[in-house]
Amino acid sequence: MNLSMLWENRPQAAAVILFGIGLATLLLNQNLIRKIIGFSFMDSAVFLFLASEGYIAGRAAPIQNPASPLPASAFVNPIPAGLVLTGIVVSVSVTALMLALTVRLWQRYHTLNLDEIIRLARREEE
Amino acid sequence: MLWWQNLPFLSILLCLLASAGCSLLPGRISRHLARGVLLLCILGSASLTAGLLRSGSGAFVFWMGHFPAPWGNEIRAGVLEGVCACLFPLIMLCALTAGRGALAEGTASRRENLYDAVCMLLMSALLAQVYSNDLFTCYVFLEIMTLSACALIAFRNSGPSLAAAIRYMVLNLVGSGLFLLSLVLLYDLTGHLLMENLHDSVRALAADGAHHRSLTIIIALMTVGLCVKSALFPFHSWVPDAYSAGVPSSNAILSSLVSKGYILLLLKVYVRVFGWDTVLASRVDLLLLGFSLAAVIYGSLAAMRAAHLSRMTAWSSVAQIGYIFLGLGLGTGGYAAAVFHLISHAFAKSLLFLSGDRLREAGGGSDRLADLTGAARRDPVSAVCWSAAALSMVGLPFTGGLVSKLLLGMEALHHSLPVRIAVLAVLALSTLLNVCYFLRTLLVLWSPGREASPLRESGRRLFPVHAACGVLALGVLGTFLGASPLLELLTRGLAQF
Repeated sequence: MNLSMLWENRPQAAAVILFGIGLATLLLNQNLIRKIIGFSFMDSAVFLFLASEGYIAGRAAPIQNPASPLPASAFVNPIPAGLVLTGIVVSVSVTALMLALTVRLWQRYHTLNLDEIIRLARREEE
Repeated sequence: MLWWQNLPFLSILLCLLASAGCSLLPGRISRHLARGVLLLCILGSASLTAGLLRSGSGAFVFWMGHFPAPWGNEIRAGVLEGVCACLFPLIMLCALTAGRGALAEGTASRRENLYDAVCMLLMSALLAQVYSNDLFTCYVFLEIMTLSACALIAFRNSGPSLAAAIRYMVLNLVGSGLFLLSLVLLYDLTGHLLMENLHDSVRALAADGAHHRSLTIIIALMTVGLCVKSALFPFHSWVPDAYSAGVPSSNAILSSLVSKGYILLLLKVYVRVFGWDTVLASRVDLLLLGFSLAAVIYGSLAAMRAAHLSRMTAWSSVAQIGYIFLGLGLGTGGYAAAVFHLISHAFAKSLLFLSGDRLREAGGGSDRLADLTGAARRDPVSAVCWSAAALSMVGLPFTGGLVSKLLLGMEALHHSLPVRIAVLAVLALSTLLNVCYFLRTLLVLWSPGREASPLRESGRRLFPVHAACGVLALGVLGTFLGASPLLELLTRGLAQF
């Protein structure tokens, strides 16, 4: 394994590590709020990955001035930025729905522990 | 451009608009709006399929707003998409019609219009998933589908349904996170998001051999992500709660539409983006085969132990999803079997949930198997429908289930000896297990039980439920009687998929 390669791609490496942290929190932590934070971590990591892939050192933001048009090679890749924007919208709505469900569950069971909630819900169902 | 080529886009747009409309209108109007739009979608997709078949030209590409592909958004429709776009609204229509009474009981009736709004949103996401030719658009609609499915589970607003919804969300978010990561990695590797361009790049990469490891990781992540979302065996833990906690129409929609949408997307990714050779080279097919065989056995065993009718039906979903993935895991030859089972299972499972709820009513409001003794005598129509669906699950003649099991078994014969033995043994064993728990339930239902108490509802109120169940039962029968034309249609659709 080439360490210099890892150093060259450090934003991406960091993003994948963050993704792992988020995934582990989402799956393993029993606290609902922490689960939601884990989810945000996971999605933000993907956005970091995309943004760092789209950035090309030494180039400008892709905004064309009609008075003095520049060639496409003067700009960074705009598509990842667009994808990140869309992704953020999706991520915000998912977070909102999760938080709304968490509020409902808190009002009903007065706990944020998912195992506990499932146990109480099972008992209610019986 | 021919007129029917606008239909895919129009049906997606119509569902979206209807969703917005339903959220504003009172329940008694929104119900008719939703049903009308679904009916239009069915008619539209049917004429699309007819148009495609008559012109004989194969799939076509539609640029939204006439902007060519990398800038605009692209829709691609062929025979397979047309068939799926007919099937999905049909099942949604039946579920909405049959589940209306239970919906009014289970929730504050003022909010019935929101249920229609969520269903229409789900429908538009499903249709967009079916038609879209752009991987990122697929991701966005995948998330919309997850959100609306979660709303459907939580709609009853009881403790168990909220808990089921949050469990559903957690695992589905893992699935979509993995899908998004693999999508981003793939974009990173190829620089494309459009499926045709991706296919060319992936072929070039695979031929080059330099990025074998990266491609394997991407295929594995994407497969696992979509397996989590469609509840393949080791990732099924949310299924029994999610499929039994909601109102009956939610259960039917979730089990027969939402999970199918994800599977269809996986099939699309395999066919249009990677190609089966690349998947084979990554050995992900072994993963699919192993998981699906385990799912078939585990789901059936768990269903045998279930004490409630709805839970038993939910567990049998785990097994049936296993069959569909088994078809995918068998490769190009198994695709037709997978899609065929997708269709026959969509009919049978929604029928099981909807008529099962009527039997719960007939059993005095409890769906414990012990309380259902003689329920068939109190509501014979629902019981006949339930029995038809159960026989399809087992795979008896005159039901679609038989055809899909035969197709899977025949396809397995083309594979190496260990695969052949494993698949045939699992098919035989699971049929045996299915017979055990479905026939046991059938005997309970049809045996003479407590004295027949008259049903609470009048025949007039029951008519829509029975009509919807009847349509679905005809679907179960029709997938058997019309198996060869349907299969021909699917093979043709897959060839141009």
